[in-house]
Amino acid sequence: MRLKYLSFLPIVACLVACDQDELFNGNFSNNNTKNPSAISETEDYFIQKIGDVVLFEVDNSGLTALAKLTLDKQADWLSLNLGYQVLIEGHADEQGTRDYNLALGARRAQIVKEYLISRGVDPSNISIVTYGKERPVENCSAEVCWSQNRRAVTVVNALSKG
Amino acid sequence: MIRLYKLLFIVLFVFPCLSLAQEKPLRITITDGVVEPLPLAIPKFLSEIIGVKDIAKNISTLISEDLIKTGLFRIIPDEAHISRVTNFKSPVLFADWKAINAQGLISGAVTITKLKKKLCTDPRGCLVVKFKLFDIFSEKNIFVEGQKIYAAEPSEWRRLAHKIADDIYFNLTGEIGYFNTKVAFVSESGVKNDRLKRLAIMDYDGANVEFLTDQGDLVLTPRFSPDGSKIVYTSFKLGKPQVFLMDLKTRGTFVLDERSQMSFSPQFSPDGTTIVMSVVNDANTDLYTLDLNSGNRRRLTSGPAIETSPSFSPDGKRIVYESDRSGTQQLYVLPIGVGEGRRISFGGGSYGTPVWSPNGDLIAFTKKSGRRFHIGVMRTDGSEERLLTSSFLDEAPTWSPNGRVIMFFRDKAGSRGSSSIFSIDISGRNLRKIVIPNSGSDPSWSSLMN
Amino acid sequence: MQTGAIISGWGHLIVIGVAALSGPIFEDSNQIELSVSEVSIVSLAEFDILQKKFEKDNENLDTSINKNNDELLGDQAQQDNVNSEQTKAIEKDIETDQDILASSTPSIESPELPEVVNSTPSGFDTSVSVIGQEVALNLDVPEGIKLESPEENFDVNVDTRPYPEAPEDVQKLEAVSKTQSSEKTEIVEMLIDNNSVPEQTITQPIIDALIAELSSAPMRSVRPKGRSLDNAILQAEPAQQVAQNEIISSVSNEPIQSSRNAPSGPPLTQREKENLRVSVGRCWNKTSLSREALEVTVTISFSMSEAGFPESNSIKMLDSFGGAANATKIAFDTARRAILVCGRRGFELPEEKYAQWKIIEMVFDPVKLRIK
Repeated sequence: MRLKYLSFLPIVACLVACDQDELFNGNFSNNNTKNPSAISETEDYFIQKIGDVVLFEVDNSGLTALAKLTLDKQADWLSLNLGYQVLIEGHADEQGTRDYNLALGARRAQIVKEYLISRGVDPSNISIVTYGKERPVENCSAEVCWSQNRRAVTVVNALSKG
Repeated sequence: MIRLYKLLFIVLFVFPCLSLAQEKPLRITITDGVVEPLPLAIPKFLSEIIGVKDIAKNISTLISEDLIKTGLFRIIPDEAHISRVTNFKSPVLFADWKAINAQGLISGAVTITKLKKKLCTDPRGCLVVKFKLFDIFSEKNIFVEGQKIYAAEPSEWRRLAHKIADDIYFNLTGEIGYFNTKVAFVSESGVKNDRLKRLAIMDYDGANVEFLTDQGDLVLTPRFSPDGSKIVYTSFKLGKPQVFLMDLKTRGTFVLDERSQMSFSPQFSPDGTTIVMSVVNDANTDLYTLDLNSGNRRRLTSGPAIETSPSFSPDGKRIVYESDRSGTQQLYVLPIGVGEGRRISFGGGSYGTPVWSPNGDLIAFTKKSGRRFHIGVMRTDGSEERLLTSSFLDEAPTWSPNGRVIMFFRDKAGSRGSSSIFSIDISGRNLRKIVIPNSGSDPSWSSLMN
Repeated sequence: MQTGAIISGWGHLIVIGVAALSGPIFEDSNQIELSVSEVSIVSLAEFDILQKKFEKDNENLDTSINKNNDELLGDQAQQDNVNSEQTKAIEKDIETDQDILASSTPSIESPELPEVVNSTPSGFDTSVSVIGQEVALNLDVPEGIKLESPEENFDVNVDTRPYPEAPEDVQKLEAVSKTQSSEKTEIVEMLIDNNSVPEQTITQPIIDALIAELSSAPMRSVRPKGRSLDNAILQAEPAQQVAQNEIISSVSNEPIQSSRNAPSGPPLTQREKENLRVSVGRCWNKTSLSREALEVTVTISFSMSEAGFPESNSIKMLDSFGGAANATKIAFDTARRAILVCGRRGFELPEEKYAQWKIIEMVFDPVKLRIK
């Protein structure tokens, strides 16, 4: 019996690793609005090391503790790296009607924006957009995918391109 | 011999009772009927000139299909007919049609001819169809004029057939039909996380699909204007969701409200002069109306909740919409300019995408309970809620012009899942898939066309 | 001799009495029970199947809220299959029925009809039709046309010789039926005069009614029992005279006058009324009624022939409530169809109580099947 449980561990570990992988390598899927080749090194660093995605609970736009941690790091980076415009994309999973999900995405984006402002980011540099359920990163119909789709993505753009 | 005695018996014993002859009529009340498709005969329409035989056959076939798909009629095939309609003017042998239990007969004749007013651009002239409708058992020609005649471009034979089917439907049921209508929708292709969407229009039966936009921009929820000349929709052309208007004649498009941060979920008012929509204000989404002529905007709701998916009542005085102010998505009715929105949904679960029936008596909606989605209807006060469908994801009902049929789309689970558009009667019966080349979602049913 | 006469007399009386009293018992054996399949498309069995299917569907509707609609789609496919199967079954029925009709009723194409044609006034061409023959009705019938000649031939066919032993009542009956036929002419005229509908609808039913009578009643059975189209085949001779009288009465459009001696009998039982209710209800097709029309209650009055057939021209709306003009019209049309379609084979009603059901008022109240 114990062996069975033990054998579960590596599988779980793999899954977790895969999830983490998603966060770091999720360039294209998390950032639908951007052409991959246009991401500069700094932005790449932001995505990979800081984390550009925070996740949400079902039908919820509240920030989890983990989300706040990520956003704190984002705010710190932004205060160190001035000259960046921020666009926050709000998304929802497919388990809801289209219009409501657009509104929910907008609300999630707004909440992230307000948090970043409370952490010192210049409000005039932050704009929000919603994609509702139209731009999922995962397309299976199960919680493991849905949880990934309920997200807000912080997209940073250099204010002036060199 | 026995015959004689029998008569005698009757005469002696039965006839004397005649003096007690009753004059009071027997009164019987019938409350139970049957629900059974009404049997009709629609023999191939006659072709009055050479070269229209196929069109004639296609027209009568399409009329039959329209009527069969309503679930209300049964078409007796031509092979079962006893007498043939060989001449449009010949009188009907009612006995023959009674014998095969046809309760209605539709006969028609088709020709292509140049009309004086030069209505048609086709060099051969206009397609002209005349038809008659008979109530067989009452032995009556149903049209007061005896027959009806329609003319159209030969290329528009489908529209003409739908129009005829509408007339028949109306004369047999008393309801206006819904066959000569269009549906605007979003045509989809690609997998779920890489989906391409285009605006499209089709006949209500899935024929004549025509694309209105290319695949460059994400487009959502198109809605017809009451006169069928325009659609409003949501487009990400400008990098965020905005309400756009397209003139269907010119195909010109323009954004309706540039002031809004983001806007979506637009709907026309019944008189076509106003758009109601959702506008994002920071963390809130509220309802606004926009006067198309003046450009004036008016805010209808405020507060920290999400208000979206608005739909006008047919008299234009009220709006039904969804709001999550109670914590979950529920339906509310707002008398415009008069008072507060009043909640009408109270079942377990969450409700969205409410749409007011053109008859004004019902509101269709999407309901989520547990993990499943349903299309349902309820009275405008929220009573008598009935669920019509159930699946992984059913969404976005739209009404036929006579308020008897609802179209919606159904999404399938899984990575390769795609959407299909379905129709269903408000009785919950007769679920049908609209067959189109690609996937489709967000259907919007037009009014009856000309 | 006297004793002999007395014995003979008593013997005769006994024989008459026995024959008379045992008449009802033997009557059944004289009637050949019809086991021929019915001519109409949907047999009762199929009707039942359809009805059951509807009931089943209705049950499913109530409880299917959480049912996966994919199943419903499957039903749809099945339904289509069932429909096509039914259509095939129906077509088979038609073939069988037509075969039976063809083989057993050669007398239908009787030569009586040309007499009708020749004696009609000019301007009214009637090569009157029976099944299998061509019809070419001239639709341009001038108003006020008198269909007299059919009546004349009518008299020719009706045997008005009184039975040798018929008491006064019978003679009175036949005298009345003669006046009845001349009255009938007037009624027909009025119809034409009053009717503003295209001529075809005026002449057709009348012509059809006349055809039916003249061609030895192929569409009408003679006796209430086992009533159906195919009873025509039997042509029960014993009651032919009575049949003739019935035919006369069934053609009349107005309620039969009180002087007409129609049997009244004991009151109609609940069961008999229920039978009629069910018989008409079976054809009262609410499927296509609009929601407005489903709110309308119509009261219809019509008269019945003694053979149990509703008289088409007598059907009229007495009353209605619950809807606007259009919805009411549809409700009336549907109710009328119910009477005519199911009445085509005649209704099961006891002949001896005819007076009680010769005029019927039927209230169609769709209370139970309103689509919400």
